[in-house]
Amino acid sequence: MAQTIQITVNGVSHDLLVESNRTLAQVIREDLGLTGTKQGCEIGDCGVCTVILDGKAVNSCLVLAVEAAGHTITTIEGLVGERGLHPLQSAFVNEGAIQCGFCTSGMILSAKVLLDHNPHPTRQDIRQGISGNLCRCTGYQKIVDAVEVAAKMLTSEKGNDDG
Amino acid sequence: MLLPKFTFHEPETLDECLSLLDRYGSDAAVLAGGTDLLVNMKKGLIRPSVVVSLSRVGELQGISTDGDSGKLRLGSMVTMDAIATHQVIKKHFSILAQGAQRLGSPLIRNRATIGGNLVTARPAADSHGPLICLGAQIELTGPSGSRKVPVEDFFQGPGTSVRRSNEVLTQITIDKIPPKCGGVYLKYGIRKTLEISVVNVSVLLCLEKDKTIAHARVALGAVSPKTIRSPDTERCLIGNPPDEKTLKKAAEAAAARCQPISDIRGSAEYRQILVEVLTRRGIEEAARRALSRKV
Ligand SMILES: Cc1cc2nc3c(=O)[nH]c(=O)nc-3n(C[C@H](O)[C@H](O)[C@H](O)COP(=O)(O)OP(=O)(O)OC[C@H]3O[C@@H](n4cnc5c(N)ncnc54)[C@H](O)[C@@H]3O)c2cc1C
Ligand code: FES
Ligand code: FES
Repeated sequence: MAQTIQITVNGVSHDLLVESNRTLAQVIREDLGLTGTKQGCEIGDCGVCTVILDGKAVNSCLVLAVEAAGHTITTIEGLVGERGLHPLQSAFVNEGAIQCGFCTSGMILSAKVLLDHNPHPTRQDIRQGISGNLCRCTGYQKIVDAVEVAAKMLTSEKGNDDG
Repeated sequence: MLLPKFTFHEPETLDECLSLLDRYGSDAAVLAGGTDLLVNMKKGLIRPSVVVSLSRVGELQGISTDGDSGKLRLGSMVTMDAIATHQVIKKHFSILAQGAQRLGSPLIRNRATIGGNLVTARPAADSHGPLICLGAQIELTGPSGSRKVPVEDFFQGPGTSVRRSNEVLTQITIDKIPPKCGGVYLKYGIRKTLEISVVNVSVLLCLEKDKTIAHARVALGAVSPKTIRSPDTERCLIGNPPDEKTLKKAAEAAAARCQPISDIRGSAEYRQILVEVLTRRGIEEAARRALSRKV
């Protein structure tokens, strides 16, 4: 059964006709062409499908697109701002936290939600924050390093803005 | 992995939801956070032709405490993340926050609901032991009204409960815990996150002024077809101080109470030993918390 829904993705409102059995991950990738969101296990175990739904990081493979109607979603594509890459994105590049890159969008979005709530995380906080996102390549150390670097960049940016 | 086709309903009131369930009977599945239901549908284990989402039913949302009685009310759609981070729950019903915090991953906790964790009735589920220790009451609402069931009587076995197919689990209520009580949830798994318990043990103790144990509840998870209380352990504890002799007897009684199975996560013998070790640790930690008044 197809249904019309309105969703806001990365600040842009979309009216879409979707079948009720399609997931948010499928609609983001196939209908909106935002393929930064990946699909891996498709049952909540790996986190490569992570998106931010109303401020919370969720597995978009376990959300029906019809359930997202009226809600606000941020995908990895939405992190790039006027000044270019988000500090988390540049820190991942600079710290060597990306190998194959399949986990990266999910890692960065989980890390973003963590830093939104906890601007000065410990390494343990970071590990917990990204614990729903699996990486088969990096061994996690450089990912944790990158999130630490990004946290420092973000707090000093904020300090500069405030000052 | 594609989901089979189904008709989707999103009622906005409980009445509307109940009439849909009544109309479609066993063809309908209730959707809360979807972290069990959608996985089972993707795996082809269930194929409902109608899915009724609870996410827009206002009555099922929210956490509140009654000012005078201190009673806690949880709407069934409250997420595990909301429970794990709620200040009142962390302070006064901490054993439940501890359980919620150990479920799945941060991503799963943002979707997984307390109602879903109960109705799914897995023997290893992380909220069952804490809710049993807290003596929680479950409210089920059907076309002919509501009934209350103590959480202990709710589960029947793996995946089954006393809920009828036309009923919605509407809320969970928990009475205030007296002072000088301490609760602890211990989950043993191979990893810290994204892990189903090999064994879990929940302990709630209340102490007298002279430190003897006035009240004790001990629940064991993943060692029986459903999470169970261990009355023998509780009897060993009540009226005694949490000393070495009491601890030993109480932990042995817990190991004797369970009938674990051997599976991919651990053998029956291993689980039995874990129950003894975790029960002992749980009692020690709960007593420590009772003295520092952390429920
Ligand atoms: C990757 C992953 C990791 C997990 N880890 C854990 C873990 O560590 N510990 C653990 O305990 N569980 C775990 N789970 C299982 C699951 O997340 C929990 O059981 C969760 O609480 C289910 O809630 P839900 O809202 O997602 O339920 P749903 O999937 O929406 O529903 C589950 C069942 O309950 C029924 N239902 C839901 N709400 C109601 C209601 N209010 N009234 C009537 N029926 C209802 C549904 O019809 C369905 O049969 C995990 C799942 C995944 C995918
Ligand atoms: S694809 Fe969603 S968690 Fe793996
Ligand atoms: S970089 Fe390959 S999975 Fe993480």
